[in-house]
Amino acid sequence: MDNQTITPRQFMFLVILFTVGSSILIVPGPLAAQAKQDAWLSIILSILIGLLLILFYDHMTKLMEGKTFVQATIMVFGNWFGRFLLFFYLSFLFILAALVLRNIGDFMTTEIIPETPLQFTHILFLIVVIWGAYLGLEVMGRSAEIFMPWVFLLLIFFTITLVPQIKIENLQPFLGEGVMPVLSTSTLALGTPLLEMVVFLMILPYVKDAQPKRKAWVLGVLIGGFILTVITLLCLLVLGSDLAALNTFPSYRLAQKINIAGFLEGLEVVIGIIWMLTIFFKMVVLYYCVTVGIAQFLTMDDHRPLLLPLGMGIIVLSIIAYPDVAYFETFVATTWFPYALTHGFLLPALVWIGLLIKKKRSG
Amino acid sequence: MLKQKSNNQTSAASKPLIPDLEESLAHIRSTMGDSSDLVIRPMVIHKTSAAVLFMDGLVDMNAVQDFILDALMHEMSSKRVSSHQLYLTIKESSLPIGEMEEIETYKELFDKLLSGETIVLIEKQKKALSASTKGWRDRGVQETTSESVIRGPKEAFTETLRTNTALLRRKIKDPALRVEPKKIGRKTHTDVAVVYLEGTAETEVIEDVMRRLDQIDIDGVLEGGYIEEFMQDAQYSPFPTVYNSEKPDAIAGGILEGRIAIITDGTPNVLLVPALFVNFMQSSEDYYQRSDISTFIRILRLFCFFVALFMPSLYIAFTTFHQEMLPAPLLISLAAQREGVPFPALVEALMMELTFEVLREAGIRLPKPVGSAVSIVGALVLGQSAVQAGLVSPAMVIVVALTAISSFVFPAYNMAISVRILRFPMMMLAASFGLYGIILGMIAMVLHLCSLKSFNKPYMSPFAPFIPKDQKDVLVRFPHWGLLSRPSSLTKKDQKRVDSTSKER
Amino acid sequence: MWSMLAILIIAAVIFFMEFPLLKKKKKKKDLWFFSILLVFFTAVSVLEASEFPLPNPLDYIQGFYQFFSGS
Repeated sequence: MDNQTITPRQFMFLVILFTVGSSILIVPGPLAAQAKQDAWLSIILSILIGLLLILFYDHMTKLMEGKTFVQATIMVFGNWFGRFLLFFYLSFLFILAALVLRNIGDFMTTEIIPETPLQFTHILFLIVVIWGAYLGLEVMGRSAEIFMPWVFLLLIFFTITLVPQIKIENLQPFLGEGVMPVLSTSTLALGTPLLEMVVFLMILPYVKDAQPKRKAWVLGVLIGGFILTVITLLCLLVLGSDLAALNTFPSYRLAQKINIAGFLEGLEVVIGIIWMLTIFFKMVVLYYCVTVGIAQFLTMDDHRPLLLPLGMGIIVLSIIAYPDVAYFETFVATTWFPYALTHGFLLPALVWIGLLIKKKRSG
Repeated sequence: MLKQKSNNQTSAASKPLIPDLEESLAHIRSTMGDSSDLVIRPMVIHKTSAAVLFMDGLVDMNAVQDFILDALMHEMSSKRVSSHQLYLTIKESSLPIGEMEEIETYKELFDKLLSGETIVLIEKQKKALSASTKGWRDRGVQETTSESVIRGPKEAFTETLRTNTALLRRKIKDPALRVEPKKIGRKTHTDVAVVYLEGTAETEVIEDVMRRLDQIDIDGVLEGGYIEEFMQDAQYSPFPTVYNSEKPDAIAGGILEGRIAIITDGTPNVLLVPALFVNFMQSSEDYYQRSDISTFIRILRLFCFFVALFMPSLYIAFTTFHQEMLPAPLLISLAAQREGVPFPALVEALMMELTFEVLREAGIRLPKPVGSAVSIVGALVLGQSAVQAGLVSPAMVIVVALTAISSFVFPAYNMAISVRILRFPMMMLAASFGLYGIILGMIAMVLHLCSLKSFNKPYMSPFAPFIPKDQKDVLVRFPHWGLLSRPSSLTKKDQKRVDSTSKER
Repeated sequence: MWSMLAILIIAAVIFFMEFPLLKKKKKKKDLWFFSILLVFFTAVSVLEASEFPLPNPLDYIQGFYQFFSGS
């Protein structure tokens, strides 16, 4: 949009933060509820499937020849049908952005600042997100580079401090419920965050150097997936699958268990900070892509004028999206995977076929 | 209207010299409005009338006396010559002065005259001579007052441009050191010198500096700060993007890193561009102390940066929003302290921080002996009695003191100021959103920092974009034999600094 | 009441922040899209603030996929 580019390393950091952001809060709970002590296996499984998905996306980027997903779709399917498909793609991203905003809002208002009304939490967060999206991709990539070491250090600290509380029995019996629950719940982790990766089809053309691009993406997903697996494992090992399933935010509950030598308690704030950072980057990537996508959809020159009006829309949507956590949990459990599959796989696959045909014809 | 007027003035000033001496002197007198410090010494050299002009106070009287008046009035051969012949003789052989120039217009004449040169006018000549006799009282090279160091040179720049360029030349004796002159200011005609190492500084940056300097159109430049505000990239940022120092060794170090120094006449603070965030966290002393000490100090500075920025806001956030997150004994003692305090934590913090800022400002303005009295009254008496009166809690006083001391750690005063300013919005965010607000404030600040550029160099490099090769001289300072290359975030030319074999034994 | 007023003020501030820039760059199309979106979302926000029951897109999505899974 504004000729800004990011390096493969910055892209990798964005992918890691995107993978971890918000899924770390909402995935372990439902996973533990359905797959019990084998929840970690379904995460690993979904990451493996996710890697295939990434290779598919990567192949697609090559076919798009430096165009974003929106531009490529319009090129392949023409002005009307292309825009018809894009309407669904962009609405998917828009709704996803609103849901992510609601996740952080829920987390903050239940755990950290219960006195503050939800709207104001959302507004403050979104103002910073808009500020990031306004400054552009380059700045987002650089800030990811600044924050990444902190996120890593805090995560390592977090893991080490929890090691003494691990109870290996919590993982037994291994595959006690059979393979089926593991397979069926892996769709959950596939829906959040892997199929959401489709958003990077909007950013990839702006990543410098074609060759390390795929490596950066695969590595990013692997590292992000590793973090997710470790956190889920810790949830199971420390809390046990029943307690993990009962909590809305098991990974935060986990942090409350930290106790170093009896005096360093209440370190859950530190974990809250990591979650906030990762969700911020997920949100800023999503929001940037939504506005850039809409701007390209409307053939505007600049996405910046759209940032503030769309922000008002996202706030409203994030408030009305669900009345209570129960509604959200059923939505995630039943609808999110097919919804994400349609927009994260079927729709890109359709465009991919179109691109292939177009390439055959011209070449 | 105004523009036209100034055009008229310049055309009048650039008018060629009038050959008739009387008329010419009359013109000069009327332009200067009979100023009392203009000295005109008419004389007759072998029946040709001539005049010597200089400004009293701007010239070295001895030089004028011995080398101009003496030479012209006593030592000229007594043969009568034509006026042109006389002019040539004076120009070529009879003035024992180092720097000498011919001038043809009144603009040049006034420029030279007013910067302290002596003008020789001769009847019926279209040209005049100007001899460099500059010499006025200045403070001399003294010890630095604002950037004191324990180890390392203690000399500081002065207000005189020539002295300052000489101080730099004495550090870098390389013919590639360029000193390019500029004049800025329609009224003040301030001399500005751009100093850099040819072949080390990037050509684009040099051109950028020159272009930005040429664009400045202002009536007067009294201090380097005028130029800084015209040149800086981020006009509306609390963070400085131009570095300044009054220590020649710090500036010379910057020039060796491929940066460009801008010296303004009348300013002991020399500007240095491009300036990155990390430059404001480093002191020239880091390179004189042993590397392990410097590394420790640098990390300490970064830590102090966070303390100075976030300490009061964290105090507010924890006492108003997140009491449950504090360990119980600490919480109890804090609550007991805050028991009788009639204000919310934000008001308490704002009050104390503002008091401290006022005290600091007062301490700077007052003469030295009184200044220390103020600091005693302020720090000890005010703090103590505020706590005893129950207006603020002792913990708050500790927090404010810690913040203040931490903000003194930065070697660069302008970075310390931006931290002092940013502390207040952080406190507001903390008071309304607690920790959530602080984190979001921090994210917004980092986003802003990452978007800044200084002369097209990313402000946060070498952290973002991350340059592994440059990490040797950022948080950690390698020993000098390990600083093999120049920081590539500043210049990509002439990379080699140390030969890797120089530490073999 | 107050929240509605606040939303209108915010919308006005947004408008006057972007309008001069777009006007200066003579981007008529961008200006139109910006204004339409701003008016639309301001209207939505005002409705939400007045506790008008807005339709929730998630309901439709859920309905759509439940129709397919046949339950």
